[in-house]
Amino acid sequence: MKPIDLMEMDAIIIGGGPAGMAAAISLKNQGVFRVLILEREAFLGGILPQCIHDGFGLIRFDQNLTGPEYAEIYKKRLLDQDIAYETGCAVTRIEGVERESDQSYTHLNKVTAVSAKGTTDYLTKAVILATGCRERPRGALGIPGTRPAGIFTAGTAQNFVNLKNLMPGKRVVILGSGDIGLIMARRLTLEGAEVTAVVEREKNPGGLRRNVLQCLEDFDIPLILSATVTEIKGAHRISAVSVCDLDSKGHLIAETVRDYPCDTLILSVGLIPEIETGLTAGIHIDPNNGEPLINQDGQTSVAGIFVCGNARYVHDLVDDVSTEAEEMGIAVARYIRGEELKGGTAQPDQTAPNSTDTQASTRREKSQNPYTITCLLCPNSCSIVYKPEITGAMCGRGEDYVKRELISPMRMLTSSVRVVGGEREIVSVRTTSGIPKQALNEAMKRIKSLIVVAPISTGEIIEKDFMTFGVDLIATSKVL
Amino acid sequence: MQSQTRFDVVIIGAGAVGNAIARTLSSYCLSVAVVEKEADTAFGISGRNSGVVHAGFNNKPGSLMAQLCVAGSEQFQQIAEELGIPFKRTGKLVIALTEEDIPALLALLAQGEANGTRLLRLVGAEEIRAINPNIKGVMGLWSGMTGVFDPFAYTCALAEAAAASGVTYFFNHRVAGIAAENEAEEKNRNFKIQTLSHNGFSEDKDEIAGELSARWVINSGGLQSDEICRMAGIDDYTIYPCRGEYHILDQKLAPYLSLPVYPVPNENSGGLGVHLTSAPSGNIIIGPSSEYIDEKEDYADTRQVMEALFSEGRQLLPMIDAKSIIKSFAGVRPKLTSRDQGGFADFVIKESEKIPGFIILTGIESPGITSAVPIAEMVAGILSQKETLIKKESCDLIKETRLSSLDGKAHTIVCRCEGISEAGVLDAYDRILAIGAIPTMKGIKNRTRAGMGRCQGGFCLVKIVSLLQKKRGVDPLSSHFNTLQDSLFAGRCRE
Repeated sequence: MKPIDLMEMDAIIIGGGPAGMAAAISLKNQGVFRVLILEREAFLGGILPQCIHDGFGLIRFDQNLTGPEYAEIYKKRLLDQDIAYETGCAVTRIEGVERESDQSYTHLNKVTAVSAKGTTDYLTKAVILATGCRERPRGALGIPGTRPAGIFTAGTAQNFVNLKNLMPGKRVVILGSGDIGLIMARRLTLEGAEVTAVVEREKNPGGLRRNVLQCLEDFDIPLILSATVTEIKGAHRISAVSVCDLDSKGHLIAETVRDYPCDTLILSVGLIPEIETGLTAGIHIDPNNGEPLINQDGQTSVAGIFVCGNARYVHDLVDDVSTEAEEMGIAVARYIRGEELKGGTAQPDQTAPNSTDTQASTRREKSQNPYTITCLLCPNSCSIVYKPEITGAMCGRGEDYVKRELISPMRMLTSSVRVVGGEREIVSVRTTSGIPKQALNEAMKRIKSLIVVAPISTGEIIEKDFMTFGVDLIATSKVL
Repeated sequence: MQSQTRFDVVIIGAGAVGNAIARTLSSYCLSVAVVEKEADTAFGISGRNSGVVHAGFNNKPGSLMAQLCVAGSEQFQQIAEELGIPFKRTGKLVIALTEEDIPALLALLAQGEANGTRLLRLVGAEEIRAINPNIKGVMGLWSGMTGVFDPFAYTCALAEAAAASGVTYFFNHRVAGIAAENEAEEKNRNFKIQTLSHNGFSEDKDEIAGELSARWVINSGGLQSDEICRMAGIDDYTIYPCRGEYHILDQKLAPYLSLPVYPVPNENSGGLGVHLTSAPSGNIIIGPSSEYIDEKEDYADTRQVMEALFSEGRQLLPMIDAKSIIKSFAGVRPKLTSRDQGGFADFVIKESEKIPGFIILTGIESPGITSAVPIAEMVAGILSQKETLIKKESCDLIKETRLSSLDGKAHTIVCRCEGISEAGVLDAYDRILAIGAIPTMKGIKNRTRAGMGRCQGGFCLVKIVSLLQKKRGVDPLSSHFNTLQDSLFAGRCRE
């Protein structure tokens, strides 16, 4: 065989989402220079560009940002640091190769990627899997019934609404109360759809408490706990779902079956690490949850292959993903230089929260005390009691939040505005801070009537002193 | 659109059999049309089955089923090459789980030998394990002629080959009436075929009437073949719909199954028993169940059967778990035997004695798709007994090789699970238009496999919608998902 000239890298990062970008920047900061990000989408940022809602960056930047704004910060850092990346480039295979030489490294990984330019093989010391996660589809749920149009996973619906200007439907049932499902309940309601129910089989919602509050309770969207969808109806487009309550053991209570007419069913029933690229290299996964086994450095069972972000386990917060990826970057840099690592055998990730994790559960559980307000300022979702006195806030801001929430609740509004003359039909926008909760519907009417002309840059003011609320309406992404 | 309304032959039904007949007849100097009620080909029985090329040992000696199935199996390699579709002669195991199953296994072997099925032999427990280590059984029947293929690719390729050699397809044309004129005089015989088409999309009930005429009508109407007979005045047949449900498993399980594995069939069930099929895509398919139903096109999955299939599948292959299922679906068999009769009736393939020129194909259930090309040849034979069929001077029934998903060339990937490129999706869209079908997401999925993988279109649906909008000018708001009567979206967020 003819020897092939392979591009040789120190680290190939598969995935240019928050985990991949943070890992790349961390490696560069550690003095690793031959770093390349391979991203299968046409853009960097992973899932963030479609997450136009707020709640990002509260931990890392002490700012309430939207997904595209959070991504923009990292994209700018990548460019500033001159980190190489390729978009529209899908990795199809990773395989270990041994190289005979007197250097300290003999084990390399060959990464094969396909793009519009052709198929390219790279040799690299380290591979970082930052491939994110995917949504559990209808087929994996075993819901009986027909297979009509109008069933979308929450993320797919989110992409259509937030990036493609397309409304999935007008009368919506949401199965599962994961965060994306909750966010979409609010988003679709503000867009004029009727969300008739969010159905969750567990006793507690799957998403963060703050999202239950600001996405469902703010809009009086019914959350049906301990229930599930037992049948899908409709010959062409979905026409109804049957919902059935579950007893404490999770068994169906047959006499509770009732139909919810709808034209759309949104599924928010769990995310699965998208680790298939790693499987081509033979990395081991935990058969119970599909998560890759890793050692203390984030290294998988295959030498030189590391994993971070939602490909490792599904994180609640992107801030945590960035932090994890940065920390792992330090270990990967040591690996590349042949320095000592923490090591250990690959096992289920010890840092992943489990259901008994107190921090994770306080973020989700509803307080039993009726005089409680859930603070929306950060993901901690503190349950703050306000009678007889204000208690339960983990920080000083909580008290101010509760006082204002009791008098005049304020919400940041995130949405999109029509753009003409650009590469996209809409641009994501937000208010610079909260506007009165009661005014959200009026504000949506205004937003729907606005038309702006491309190009639009991130942070550009779309409307100054939006509806005289004393806040500006700004673009949260750019449209060329 | 299609302006010609007068043909020598009108074939009703664009399933595998209808398409195969169209393809075979297109090699003669005949004008041929196919009318199909659905938006596209392979939307009925042909797209809802196990995807197994049968070897012919399940059918009664002397039956058309046995004869045509053996012929189809023998020819399939060549047909698959001509059409450029995935086919693997994997062989198949029929397993006796207990000693009690052995007599039935021996009977199958004898039946196969009587039918002329080649490469059949009994295997012991040890050899079963050697063939497929995860399968257990006390004895097995190994059939070397059985194989697996992609039924969507096959049915579409037959239609494309037919259309390319001059057959006109009328999709979205449901046959509403058939009138025979001068049927006694062969020279002046004429059939008028009334059709109804959906006007536009969504749940619109308005339909447009149309009419075609032909000297020959070939009823390959599958589940509706009895109704079409009745329209022509033939009341002899009743189709009893018998549903079969399936589960499709993640390709990660592919290493555990290298060939289809069947239990010993139960005479009365009306099917071949719940089996495991190792599809060419690498997915294992569990099914089908067998349940007589009232509505012919009730393709719903049911909880009871879904659970039963899962546990029966596990009995054959223990490493199957609930997480392996990526999709469930159902097909419906067009049976001529009722719930009470059970079992199999033979194919009916003949010219009506009552209405000359009207060719009846009914009860074309399993092994119909294996037999499609021999059935087509038989139909051509029926025509040639009445009139001289002249071969066209040049007729190429061999399809050019389609764009494969990943061939080492430059590609922008659309479907990450199945590795399907933008070029593959656009090619599929163009091929839908080339046969006169109406584009749907299902039609694109059937031709490319984009959306058939473990994420079930979670990622690629958005990309396909955008790609078609950008490269083919398709308005997402007039896009269909599965049928002409559905719409994918409710509107735009911002006008």
